Amino acid sequence: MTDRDRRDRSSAGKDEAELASLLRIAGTRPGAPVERSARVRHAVHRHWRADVRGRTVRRRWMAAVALAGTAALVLIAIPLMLPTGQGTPVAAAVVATVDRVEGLVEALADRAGPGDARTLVSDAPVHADEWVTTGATGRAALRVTNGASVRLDVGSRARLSTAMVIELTEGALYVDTGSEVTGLEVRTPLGTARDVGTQFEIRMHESALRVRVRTGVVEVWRDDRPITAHPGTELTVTDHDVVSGTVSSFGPEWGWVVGIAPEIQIDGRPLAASLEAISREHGWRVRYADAALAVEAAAIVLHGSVAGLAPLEVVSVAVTTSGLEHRLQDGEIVVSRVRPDAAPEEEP
Amino acid sequence: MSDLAQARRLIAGDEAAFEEFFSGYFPRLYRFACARVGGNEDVAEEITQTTLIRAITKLHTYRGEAALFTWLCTLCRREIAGWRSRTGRVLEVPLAEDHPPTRAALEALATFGGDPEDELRRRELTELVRATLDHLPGRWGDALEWRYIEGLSVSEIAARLSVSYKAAESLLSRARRAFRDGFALVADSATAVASRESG
Repeated sequence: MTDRDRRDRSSAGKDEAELASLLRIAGTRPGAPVERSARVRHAVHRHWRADVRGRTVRRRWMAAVALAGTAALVLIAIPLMLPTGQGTPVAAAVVATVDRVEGLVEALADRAGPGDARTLVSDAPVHADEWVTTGATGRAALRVTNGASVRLDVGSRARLSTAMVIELTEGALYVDTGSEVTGLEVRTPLGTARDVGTQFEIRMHESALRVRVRTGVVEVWRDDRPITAHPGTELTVTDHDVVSGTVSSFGPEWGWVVGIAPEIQIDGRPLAASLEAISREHGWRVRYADAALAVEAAAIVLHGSVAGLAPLEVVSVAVTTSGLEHRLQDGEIVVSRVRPDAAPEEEP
Repeated sequence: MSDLAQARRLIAGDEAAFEEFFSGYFPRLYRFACARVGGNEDVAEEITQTTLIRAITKLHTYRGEAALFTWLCTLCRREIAGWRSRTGRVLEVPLAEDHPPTRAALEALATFGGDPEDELRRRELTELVRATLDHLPGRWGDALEWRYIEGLSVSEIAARLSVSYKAAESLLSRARRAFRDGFALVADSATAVASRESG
């Protein structure tokens, strides 16, 4: 062995000793708790198998379509080959589809074991016998088959028994039935809320039920008697009492609802309809400087994507590209024509 | 096996690839999440699960340009950011690779005493070492721990990894080099961040 070899070896040994002492000071990295690991593994594995199955089915379907060459064969093949969703086949009817999901949201059929929960992703179906649970990190927006939008806040548990009946046992739910659905019920152990074409939030507390009405009317039924709540009303219902207060239709009280709202689509929609849709989500109102402008706004059709933009940015982009201007004031978007004497914006 | 090859096997439905993927990444990702949500294990579990599920859904978009773990960490960061914004949480989590631990802590290894400042430096150093191990490819981090903390022989490591003695020896050598280089880089960057923050 040469001196150089010995020097190299000695230097390598020193390096290795330093590395060893550094690692020993840090100690072994803590492993994830076994129970948590098992739970997550089960859920991820289930999702992975469904994902693989879905891809395989889609590939086969494409191949079948390519080979069949006749519409008749395709018609026979489709019902046999369509994916059945992510989990094991569920017999109950589909009552909703996931519009948007953030964090962990799971669906668990009534008779299934706790390990059989499906992790919900966008576009996943929700069946009538499934409890949808949002954990500490999750929120979900569901599109019910009748068109209503139902949103669950973190820490909630709800089931859509049918498209018109929702059971809520924990957390909070927001319902926007639009103008076409009425009579949708949210049943809780402390009472039932029935809508009359409205937007409202219903939140379970330990021994109270809070209902906030944004638009329309909600009837809260307790002991076979209705308590009617109008827009801007906040009802707190306990075993012994009903307290009525007020709530604004916009602002931080509705922050979580806006946060999980489905993406805004403006492509191909008139400016007026786009502004109405954004305003509806936020509880704002739209006002035009004059009646003629309102008519014009209904005739301006927008094109393009606003994905990733905040709602106010969408309003700004839509209004500005339409050659108009706007301001947001006390929950009202005021749209007006560009003033001819307005000072031009400074160049950056 | 490269990360891209592993991703392709997963997409193809290879059960062994799933086991490798889960056992290889879950603990590292869980630690990654846990350190960033103030040690809340329930939240860390949910975030890790959501991250892995999103990763599987998007796996076909993974091009192998970054290490798979780096890609998972990016998805995990998004989940954590979403959770923070949904819950209005602003956590001040001092993280080894994101923030302070300094070269000074490293140089002062020999002088570690029992006072609180030493303890803080030791914790920071520990986080830095563990984060570096977590970011090494494949099972390299495990192999280094087995060799230098558990004291396993090369043969025993070869047996654990189901590879030949020569392959284990080579893996250890590459792992040592990667750890040294990676640790130096992370420590340098942490020192720079600390200097900027203090200056």
